[in-house]
Amino acid sequence: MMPPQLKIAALVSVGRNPASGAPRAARNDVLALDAALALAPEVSVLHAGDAAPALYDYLAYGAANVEVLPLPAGADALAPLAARVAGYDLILCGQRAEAGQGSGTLPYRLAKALNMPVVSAALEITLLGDEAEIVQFLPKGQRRVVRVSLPAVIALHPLAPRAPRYVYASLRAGRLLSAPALVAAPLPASPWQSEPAVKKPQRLKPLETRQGHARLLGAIATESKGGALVREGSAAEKARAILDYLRTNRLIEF
Amino acid sequence: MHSLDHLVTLFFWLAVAALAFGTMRRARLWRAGAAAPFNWAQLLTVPRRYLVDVHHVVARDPYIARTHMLVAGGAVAAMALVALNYGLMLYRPLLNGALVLAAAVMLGGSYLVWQRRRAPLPRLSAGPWNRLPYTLAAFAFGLLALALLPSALLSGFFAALIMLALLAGTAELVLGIGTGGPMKHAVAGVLHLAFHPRAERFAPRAERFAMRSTALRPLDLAAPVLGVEKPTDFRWNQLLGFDACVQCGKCEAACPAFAAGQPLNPKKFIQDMVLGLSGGSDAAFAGSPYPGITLGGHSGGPEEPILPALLAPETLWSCTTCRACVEECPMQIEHVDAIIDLRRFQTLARGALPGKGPEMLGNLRETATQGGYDNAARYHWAVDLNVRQIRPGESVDVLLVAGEGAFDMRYQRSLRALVKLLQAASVDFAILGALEVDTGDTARRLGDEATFQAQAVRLIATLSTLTFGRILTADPHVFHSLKNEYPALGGHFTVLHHTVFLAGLASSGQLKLGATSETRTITYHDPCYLGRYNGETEAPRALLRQIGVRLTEMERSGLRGRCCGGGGGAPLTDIPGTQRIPDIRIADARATGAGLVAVACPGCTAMLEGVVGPRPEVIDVAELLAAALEGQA
Repeated sequence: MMPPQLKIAALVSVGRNPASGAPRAARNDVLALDAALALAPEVSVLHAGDAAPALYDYLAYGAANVEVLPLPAGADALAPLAARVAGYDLILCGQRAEAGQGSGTLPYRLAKALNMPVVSAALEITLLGDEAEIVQFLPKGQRRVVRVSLPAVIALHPLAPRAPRYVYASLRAGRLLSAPALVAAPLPASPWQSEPAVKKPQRLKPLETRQGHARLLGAIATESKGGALVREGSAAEKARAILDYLRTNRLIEF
Repeated sequence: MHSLDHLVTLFFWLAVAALAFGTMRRARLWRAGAAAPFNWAQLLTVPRRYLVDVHHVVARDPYIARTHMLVAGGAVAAMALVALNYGLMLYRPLLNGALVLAAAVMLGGSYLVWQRRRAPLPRLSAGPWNRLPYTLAAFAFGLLALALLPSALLSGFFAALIMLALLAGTAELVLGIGTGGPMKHAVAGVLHLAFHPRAERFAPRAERFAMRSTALRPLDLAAPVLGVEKPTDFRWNQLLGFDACVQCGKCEAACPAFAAGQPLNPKKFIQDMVLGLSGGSDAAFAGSPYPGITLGGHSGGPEEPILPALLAPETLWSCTTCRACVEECPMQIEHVDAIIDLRRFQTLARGALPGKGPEMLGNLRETATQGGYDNAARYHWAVDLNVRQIRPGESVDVLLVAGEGAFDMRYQRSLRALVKLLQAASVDFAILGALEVDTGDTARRLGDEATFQAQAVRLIATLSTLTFGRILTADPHVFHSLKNEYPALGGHFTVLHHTVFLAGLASSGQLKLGATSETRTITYHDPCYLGRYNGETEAPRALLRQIGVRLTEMERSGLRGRCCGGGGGAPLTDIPGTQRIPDIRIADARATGAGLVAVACPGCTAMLEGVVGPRPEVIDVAELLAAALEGQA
């Protein structure tokens, strides 16, 4: 069945927690690592970039070691990764990084550079000799089974049904290895521009309490919505009127 | 006739040899455990520990306390007299007279044991324990006859009969330790009391109340084995402790998980650990099994991994770490420590944590909150209360640490009530606010010592940059870990629970409380981590009395209160049972006719409020006090 010399690589990146922004093992890459470990006991776990502390999480998730391919800031990870994984039978990665550009194009560009087929949105992978059978994610609960001949690049879907285990003892036993630096090209110019997200203020609307008949009548008659115009009084009194309005309509809870 | 006396002397020394041999044999099993400090002088502490600490627990059931006093007292006295009179070959009639007395006392006790076992409580173990009244009586009867009847009057047949009874009784007493019979508890119990893993439990009373010995031992994260995988990974005195179990089942009767039909029974758990150290299958266990798990399916040995062959993972993760079993155990066995040791290995070396546990631990590592919240939002509950946030360089008397409850909209009401009280009492206080990180307490209960220590080191570093007098918290879990468990990691703080602090303010008159307008019947639910873990049962009650509440106590309260089901990460591992623990607790409250349950813990609040259907309202003590503040509209 499985040729004993099957070489499997898992590509991992540094992700970030959406709430705190803290660097962590990217969830999708953890799934790729876990799927790789289920296929073979020995997996080359590769990361292009700095030897970040967050990479230790991959050790906890079962990597015996993580090989760090040094990458200057702003450089494209493609060339060093392609050079490193040339000759591998199976290259697994997450579909999209959690930090950085996160364009989701790396699996495709890597496959193109290595002249290999690429399968994305993989949920389950079964090895059948020199082929791999993959259950692919499709929207609305649909699934598709595809076969691909090895060598191939397979990108795991974030919903792949795997339960990776975080094991402190394995983190303690593993280590980060740094590989010699390779020549890397700068990242292709991004068509994207980034700007800080702006939270738009939301208009507070009182709950509609009228019955259906009254609402329909309101659509054909111009009548007041029940507000009040406060022109008189000091600023504090006007503020009090607004506060009373918000309270009576239960738009605020204090 | 001297020949019978000499025969008794011979048998006596043979029995002593059998006892010594059996003890050595059993000791070999204990010594397979990991190292722990050892000092022969500890044996001198046994009488006090037995007569004070053990008696204190046993006396809760006066019948068995008296029974044991008669049986064990009579037996020890009788054996001492036999040793003197026959062992040393004195053969004095006077000593024989005393022997008659001792044997009669023991015989009376044996009768009481027999009475007890005629209609045994379901928590008691049957099997070999059922033969005890007979073998004890045989021993007492044999001694009585031996000492009472002049041997000249005895026919050969009667003499043989007496010797037979004596032999049967002696066999029970001296072979127990070597063969693992019921009387093993006598030898193992004495040694366990002497070499107890938590010697602080037996400290003088005043010291014990200042700090009950409930903190977990820090784990060396560089140790080759993280926690306990095989029975021999336990420290030897823990193994000895398991052997001291008398299978009285008081732990079983107190265990909330057992009551809820979850697959845990503390008594069976200890017996499984005994099986682990001696080897064998659990088919012969003669007590209640783990609910839902049939007997005979588990076996183990000293060098075999305990999970899953000896112990099902569901059993391990059902424990709420409420320490009710430890509180009830007359033999002072430490069930919870053993559970945590096993959990440590499962979590740290296997990552085999069920349910939402792994998610919570990931959240802690990445966000310093259990729920995966933005930690900067931790103080949002206080944003409109004009509360100072502490800053380095500014000094404050009281520092309020909110805990994970700060993210829970229900518990924010309690925290806001607490702030109102502090402001009314003009306390100089500030909140830790966004500087606060989780204490890591829940991670520790789930066995993740690595994450706990990382959180603790981080929080201690933060606190050491700040200037404050005392720490105040409304969360007993935060209270326990800061007060009792941080010192081992270098964090020494004065920590107060809000009920204790407010009780002090109220009694000094700084906090002026009126009478409550509450007319419903009120009962108070003791949080385990405040009551059993820290001995604080009086302060919340004093506060409630002060606002005119006449408390109706539930069936289990105070140090023996029933857990709400929220401890030890149990809501995360969520092992199914036949009912939920908080439902049982609310049923306790209903039985008192209470319309309101006063609580003092965010965990208890969440668990008890999660009970569906009509139920008493659940309100924090701070909220009741804030509503009764004097001079408010």
